Amino acid sequence: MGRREPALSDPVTGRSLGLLVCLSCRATVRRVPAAYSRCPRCHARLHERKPHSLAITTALVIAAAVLYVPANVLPVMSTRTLIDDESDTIMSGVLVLLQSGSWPIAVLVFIASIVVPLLKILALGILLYSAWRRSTRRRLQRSELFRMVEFIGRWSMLDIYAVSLLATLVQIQSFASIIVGWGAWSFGAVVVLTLLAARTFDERLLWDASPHD
Amino acid sequence: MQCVRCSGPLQRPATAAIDTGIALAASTLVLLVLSNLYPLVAMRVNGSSRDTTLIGAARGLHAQGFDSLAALVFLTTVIAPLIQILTLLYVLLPLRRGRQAPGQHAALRVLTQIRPWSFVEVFMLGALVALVRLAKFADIVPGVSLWSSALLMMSLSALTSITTPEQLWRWAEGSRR
Amino acid sequence: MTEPAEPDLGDLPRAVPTQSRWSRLPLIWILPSVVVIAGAFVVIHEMLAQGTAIQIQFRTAEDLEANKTKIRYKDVEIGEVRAIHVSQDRDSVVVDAMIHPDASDYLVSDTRFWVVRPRVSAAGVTGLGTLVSGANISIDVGKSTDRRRYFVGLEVPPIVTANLQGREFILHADDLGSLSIGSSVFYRHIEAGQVVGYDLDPTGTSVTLKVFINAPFDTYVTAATRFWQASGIDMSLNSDGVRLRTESLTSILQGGVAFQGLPGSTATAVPKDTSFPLYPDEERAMRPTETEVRSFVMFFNGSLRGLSAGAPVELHGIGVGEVRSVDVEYDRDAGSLRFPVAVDIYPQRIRGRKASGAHSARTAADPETSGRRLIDSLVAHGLRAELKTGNLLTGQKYVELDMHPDAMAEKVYWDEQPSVFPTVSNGLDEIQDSVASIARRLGKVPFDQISYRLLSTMTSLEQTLKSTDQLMRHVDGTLAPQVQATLAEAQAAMKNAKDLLAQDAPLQSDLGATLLQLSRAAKAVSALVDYLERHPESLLRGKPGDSP
Repeated sequence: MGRREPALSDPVTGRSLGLLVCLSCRATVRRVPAAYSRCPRCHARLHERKPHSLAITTALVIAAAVLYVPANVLPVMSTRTLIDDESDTIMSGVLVLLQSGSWPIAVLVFIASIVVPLLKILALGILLYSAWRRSTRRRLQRSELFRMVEFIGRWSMLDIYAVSLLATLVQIQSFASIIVGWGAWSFGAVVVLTLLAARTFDERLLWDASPHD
Repeated sequence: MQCVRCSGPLQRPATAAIDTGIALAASTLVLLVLSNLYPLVAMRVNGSSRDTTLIGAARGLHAQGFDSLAALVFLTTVIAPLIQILTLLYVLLPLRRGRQAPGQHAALRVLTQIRPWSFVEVFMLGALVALVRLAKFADIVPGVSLWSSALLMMSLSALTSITTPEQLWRWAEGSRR
Repeated sequence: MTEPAEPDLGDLPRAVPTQSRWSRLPLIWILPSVVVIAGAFVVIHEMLAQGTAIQIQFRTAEDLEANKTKIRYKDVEIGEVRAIHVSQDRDSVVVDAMIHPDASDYLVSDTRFWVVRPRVSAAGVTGLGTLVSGANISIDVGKSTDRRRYFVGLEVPPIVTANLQGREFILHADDLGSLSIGSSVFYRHIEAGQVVGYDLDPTGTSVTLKVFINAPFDTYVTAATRFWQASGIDMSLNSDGVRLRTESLTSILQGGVAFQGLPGSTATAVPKDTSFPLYPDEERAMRPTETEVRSFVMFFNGSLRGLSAGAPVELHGIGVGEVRSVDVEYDRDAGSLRFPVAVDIYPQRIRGRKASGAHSARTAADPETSGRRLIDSLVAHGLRAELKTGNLLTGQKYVELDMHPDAMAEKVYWDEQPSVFPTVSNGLDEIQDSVASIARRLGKVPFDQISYRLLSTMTSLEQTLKSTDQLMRHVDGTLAPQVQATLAEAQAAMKNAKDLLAQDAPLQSDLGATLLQLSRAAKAVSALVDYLERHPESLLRGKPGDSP
């Protein structure tokens, strides 16, 4: 990202103006000097920043990172036929797809199931780190990063949906049956955690640190 | 419109009418029902034939003991869109006639919360992957639900983009005046 | 709702207008309407295409698999098994199946289902293909119009399917023989049907069989049709010779039934389920029915060896009856054994051959009396029964009725039952006896003695004649001159003669002796000639007193 931050002296933040944004209904409201306040429009709780955003998000991200390991190590799906029993992790599934010739799908699964969660975790890690450190560098990029993270988060559910369909359909006694593995569960957990992490992360935190601080 | 600081999207001018929202919501609802009534895909291998619906896939996970995963799949493909549509209709229909539904605020809050949990488009792609893998060894016949789910995906995303929180609140407020 | 305080907008930077990322979707109410209509369309289409759900009950779910086992009609797939579960009473298995919509009108109350698996039966091995492809359920569509959703499946495939043209008939037999379900029924050696079932009669004394005759053979089943067991090999050995019959190789193996109409019959086809008797073999089956049977008893001279029950009674070679039994009777009064042969005669056959036109009216009047009258008339004209050898190979005998005009007059006494039918001895036997006795007598005539005597008599006669001749010559030749001489001599001889003819003159005595001999010989000859004249048979038979 080569764009430079806009040469603004100091854009006025809503905060400095005593404005709050209702996260629920996006109304701009004036702050009141109370510990807890509600949005006048939608009655949602108002927070200047998401409460304990950093802490919760960090916890979630760590959990997700931990679960990422079994998600890739444990088999996501095992195929049981009359003759053999084959277990597939995400990676081996991708390889199988590659070998059988459908490489676009292999690429898709690879990206969605391996790259995306990893990216998410890494990105969130970066963001958290910069938020913790109150870093002011490349904040634009980081913001964009965050938006990307928000966007792509859901796509890592791809393989889970595929597995659920396969496991439901391929239940033919005399031929083959597909069993869902714990890798899939871990994977689902990773997705949920990163999703929640993205939601709990208050991106405004990135900008809280003023370059002039 | 972009934020000057972080280039994030800003409020868009309110262009949609309430009718549009309701119409889209209704269509999406019909599509959702259709998609869940009929099988997504029928598979035939070795003389055996099997098929499954959207809900059937979730039940398949449940049958193998992965209840939480089943719940997740069910939530993100059926429940979330359903709540989204129903809540929307619940709020918009009275608004159309200039009245407010009871508990509108709560409803709108629920809407905002539930929206990010709707993964229908991801499911479509996941289904595609599954189909490709199945087609290797079985005969696949796409079912009604596959096409209606694709349409649902498009309809839902259109609905989501129309009914942003800002828009909703604008409609809500508009009725007050 | 409080309005947010309007800040002094002069300081605030202006937002940067950009393109909206999302293009506005042109939406009208047409969209949901279209969606709803399309949805309804889809729903209706799916409902129509879904087919009918049925349930079939079987004893076991062996070879059946959910979502796999197909239901076939004429080998075309019309449905599939969806689920299998045990019935409420745990006694059977209920199969949930989905039938394709275009076959939904097959589901009527007399439609039958059965599982096609490899099976070995009398009809052969069936369903081998299912070893590879897996079992399937086959359907035989019924003709009813009542729709049905719950069926009880058959445990074995039906022999007769509903669309098979033909008719069922019922046969009664003493025993099943080598028949079984699936055994073939033949018409003129062509397979025309199958045995579809059998059962023991309630009385337990006979067996009832059900056969299904395929079209078009069922039209040949008339009131005059006879069914017989054609199992295996039919061999008969009787006065007609040896006969070997068999229907087909399969019938040898698995038994079979054959049928045919009686020759010359023109009866019409009979309705289905008509009963027929099942005869043990073709011969018995094809015997024309005798509506009239007359039983008689016959007594024959000579040996009854070779005469068996069932031997035919023939009139000029035409079968008109049957020997029922050959018995032994001890006549206590006469103190001797009698051998009555019980015979059944069918006067109808005789009548049938003759009666055409004028006679038939008369004879139809009263069968009993007219039958008796017929037989009386025939017997009066010499109809007798004889025992004859039919088959030199086996020595089998039969009874032959024939006209013997010079037989002794006899009558049939209708009072005693069974009436005795007059018989004659066998002509050949008489001749044999005569020839035998003649031969015996001839053997007794002492041809050599007679000839010897005759010879000696002839010789002596000849000698006598010779002597006489000599004498004559003597008289002629020697005597004539000698006469003169003799006259002289005679005078002398007279004197001699007187001397000679004296009492003891040798010539006199010689002459006298010779004449005596001569007369004796002549006497003997004439006596012989006399005797021969009177008893010419003595040439053959000899003199009484010579022969016994």
